[in-house]
Amino acid sequence: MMKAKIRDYSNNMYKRFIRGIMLVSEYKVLLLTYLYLIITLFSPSHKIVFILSALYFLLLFFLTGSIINTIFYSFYPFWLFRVGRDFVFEVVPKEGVASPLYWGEGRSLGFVFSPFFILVATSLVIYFFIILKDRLRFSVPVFVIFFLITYVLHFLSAINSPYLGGLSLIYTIHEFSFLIWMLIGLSIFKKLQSFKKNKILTTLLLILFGMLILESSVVFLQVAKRSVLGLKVEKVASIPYFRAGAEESGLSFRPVGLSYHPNELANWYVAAVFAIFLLWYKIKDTIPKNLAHFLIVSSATLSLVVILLTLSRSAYLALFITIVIFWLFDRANLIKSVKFLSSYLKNFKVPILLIFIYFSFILPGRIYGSLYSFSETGGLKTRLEQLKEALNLIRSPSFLTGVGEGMYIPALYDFNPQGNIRFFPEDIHNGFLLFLAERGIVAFFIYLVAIYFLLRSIIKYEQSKTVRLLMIGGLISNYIMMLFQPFINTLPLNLLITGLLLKTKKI
Amino acid sequence: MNRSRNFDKYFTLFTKRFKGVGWLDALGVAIFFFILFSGVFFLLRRGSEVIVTMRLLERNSPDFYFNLPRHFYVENLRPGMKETDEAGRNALEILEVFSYPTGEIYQEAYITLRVKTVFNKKTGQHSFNGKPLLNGDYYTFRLKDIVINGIIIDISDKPLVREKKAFQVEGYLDPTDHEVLTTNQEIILYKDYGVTGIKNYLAEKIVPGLKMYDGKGEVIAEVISASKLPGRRSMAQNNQYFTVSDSERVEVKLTFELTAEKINDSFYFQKLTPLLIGRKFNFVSGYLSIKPTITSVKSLD
Repeated sequence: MMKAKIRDYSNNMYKRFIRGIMLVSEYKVLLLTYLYLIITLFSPSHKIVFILSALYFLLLFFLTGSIINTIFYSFYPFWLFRVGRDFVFEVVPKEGVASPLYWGEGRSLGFVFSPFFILVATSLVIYFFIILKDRLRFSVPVFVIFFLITYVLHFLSAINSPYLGGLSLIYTIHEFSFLIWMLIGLSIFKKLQSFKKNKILTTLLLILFGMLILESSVVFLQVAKRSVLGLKVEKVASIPYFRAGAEESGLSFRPVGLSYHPNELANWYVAAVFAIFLLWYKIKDTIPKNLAHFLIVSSATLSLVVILLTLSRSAYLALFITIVIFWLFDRANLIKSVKFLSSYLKNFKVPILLIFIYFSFILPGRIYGSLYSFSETGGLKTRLEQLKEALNLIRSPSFLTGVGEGMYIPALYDFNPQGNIRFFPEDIHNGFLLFLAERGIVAFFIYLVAIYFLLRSIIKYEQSKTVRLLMIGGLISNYIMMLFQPFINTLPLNLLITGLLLKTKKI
Repeated sequence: MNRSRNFDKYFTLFTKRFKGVGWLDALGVAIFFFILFSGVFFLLRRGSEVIVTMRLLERNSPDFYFNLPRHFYVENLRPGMKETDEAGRNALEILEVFSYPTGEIYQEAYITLRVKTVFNKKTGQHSFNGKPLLNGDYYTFRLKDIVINGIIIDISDKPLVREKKAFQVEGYLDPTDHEVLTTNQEIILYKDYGVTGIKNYLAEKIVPGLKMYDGKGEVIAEVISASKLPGRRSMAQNNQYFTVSDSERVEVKLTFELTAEKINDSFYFQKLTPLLIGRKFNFVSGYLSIKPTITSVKSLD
């Protein structure tokens, strides 16, 4: 009797949940996207990934009947599976490298011809035609105009790059497409009523949530296996080699998910969790309560666990500073959220206990190892040497326009082949200096102007303080990641979602 | 009947769905699939790298002696010169330029190139810039501002390395190969007077220890011994046949140590001259250029 009651209750819960999703989102698009994500994850070859992606694109077009909606929905699912044909270019010959990590290989750069690359090219052309169709009546926020100017400079820098100019151009196009994605989103919203906008944002949120679940599952399985899973959509065939410096233990394991490196995975998760929070805050009152709670708790928990598993100290710092910001400016809401989270999670005591036990083993080691950063073979020394070389490169004759996006390594090898690049042929682990070296001081200045206008729009934004803090906290987290990692977080997902939301305030 | 009704239903649904589709939507889908199929045809084709060895020629026409490249052309080709494609990849690179001294302005030169090709599985052919690379074909590469003409002698995944072997070769110097004579002069000298031996000024420069080097600076031939006898003239006069010494000439017999390469089961000196008795080969050392006729060949291994 009791069992039957519970079953009935679960069935009702399940039905309400599904009905809720069907009401508030474009559920057919959602279903198709989830199918694409799951099937592609187990794709036996890269060719099949291409076929599945083409099929997904076509069916999505059939469902939406619009190319811009198709691009908008398929952009991030395609981005997740950036696999295909690799094009690799040697930029430092093997004789130029003395590090055992790159022994006998030299240092290469490359790009992947993937379904995402095709979508990037398509979206660029389509957006160009959208502008033409609107007879060049181009209505975008001020910060976007400055972003566009920055990208004009990036393109010039890539075209004039004395290194692999073609490759630099591809990198620039790739990054520029994220801005185009946001502009496509804005052009979709321009024509729609509030209800439809809401539906699209909910669908986007659920797509991102699906991606988060999928990649987190891959991460957990990688941790369990202590290796990559051997899936064709994993971007690396083996976990990158750590523990070369004194600060990393040979016993620790850092999962990569569907990224190239644990730090990159952490960077993506930091951006994704802020984006999901922003979207959630926007639509939470329009979706069923149980769905809303489930979404936010799952997203927050999964992201937190995955970020902790990556052992990325920069991501830890980014999250810590966000919490400090909320503690300082929105303490009541922070305490309320923590209380709600703990009450929601008290039904999951066993898994939480297991997670705590696991982290009690790995985190102290990471913290203890970090003390060795200051030793002779620690990361600090390498970073300081990198810093000196980067500053010299920035001061070189190309300081105005930079050496071209993605061309830091060949430029530094050209600039000082006997320097630190011989032992650590990697980008400078500071995204700001990397930006200055690759794209020049002019583009950097204009980017700062764009961020100034963006912050101004956020401050004036007619929404709750929490949403505004999430927008600013997200940006600060992106820049903390940038400060310690070789990432140029100019257009992370949370910034793009911020841009979308700032223009859709009438929901 | 039922099936046909179902088809009609789906067809109506399909057409209804695409009723509101504008030209921009159609263009977007077309662009996506155009790039996808272009990618499949061009970018996803199996790319590979091959090493192509060519004998250089001045023009893409049969390898007559006067069609060999000249010094001032060959010196423009330097190892390490490369050309990149639109994406910045190395498409063509000179790995080695190899030549044998000929004692002439025309060079016996070979070039080894690393070529980024597209491999067609069906035909088994590599092609570069859309043109198949075929052994024995006259081919033209364009590398920056230089045109490279020649005949392809090898296409493989690694540089061509042939078996080399040392030989002791004996020979003599035929006067007809070491003097510039008109046909009449030749008839008078060698048929009427039966002249043997080469001019003294040439003979006295030929000494043991002379070495010939290839383009890489490796010794490919060395004079081991040189026996010299006075030159002779034989003639018939008053129904009598005379042989007298010629003080202006010396008969030179030489013993060489040569390194030859195995091509198709036979050994060739400088890739072109078979080591066969009766055949002649070029020997160039410093300011000296001679053309011995082979009288004996003995393997040294």
